[in-house]
Amino acid sequence: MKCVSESAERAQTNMSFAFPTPDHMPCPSCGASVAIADDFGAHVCEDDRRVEYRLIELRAEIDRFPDELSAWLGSPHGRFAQWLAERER
Amino acid sequence: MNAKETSTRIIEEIFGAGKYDLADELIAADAIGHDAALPEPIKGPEGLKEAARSYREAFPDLKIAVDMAIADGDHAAVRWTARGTHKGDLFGIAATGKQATVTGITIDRYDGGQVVESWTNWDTLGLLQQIGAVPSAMQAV
Repeated sequence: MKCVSESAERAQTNMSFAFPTPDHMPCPSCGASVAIADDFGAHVCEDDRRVEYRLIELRAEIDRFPDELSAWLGSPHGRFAQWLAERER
Repeated sequence: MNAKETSTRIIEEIFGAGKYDLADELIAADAIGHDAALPEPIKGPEGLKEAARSYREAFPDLKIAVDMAIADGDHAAVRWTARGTHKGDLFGIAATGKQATVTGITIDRYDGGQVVESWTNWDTLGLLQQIGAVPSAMQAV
């Protein structure tokens, strides 16, 4: 007996459909909105926007950093690194 | 101020520049707004302020330009283009830092110089694609 109905199979096939691309898409480097119709190669990223965009991309990692650092400092490697740093200071 | 100018001010100044108090002047107390992207109707000036605030919290640098305005009887329609950077939660989607450009059309009905009913349809799908929440044929350019 077939476990998946034809309509379910059709639905699954349709799920792979990608919607048409909008007129504008964000630059993958800086997030600026760029018209697809224009020559995308002519777009030049602004440094400030690129930094801000990267910071937002890394936000989760930045938020996790204090906890991860604290955990590492409490590990054998971290404790040794602290001891070594103290000795070499 | 005629209906085309008023509809333009609502889009460009309230939504596009955060001049929320203008809603008290331009929107009737019992006005009702229909934004296809919002689950509930927008009620009165306070409802409009809240809707504008929520969009501007998601896109603090939001700028909107009216590209065309037409009027017919007690109705005015504006076609607009909005651009902003996604820096706050939108529809439960956390900030992505991506800038998006979308277009929309708003039709306002007037009575006594104020908007009493409004219908807005805008490219919600295009926005969701641009901030990466929905796949598009071209995910990255």
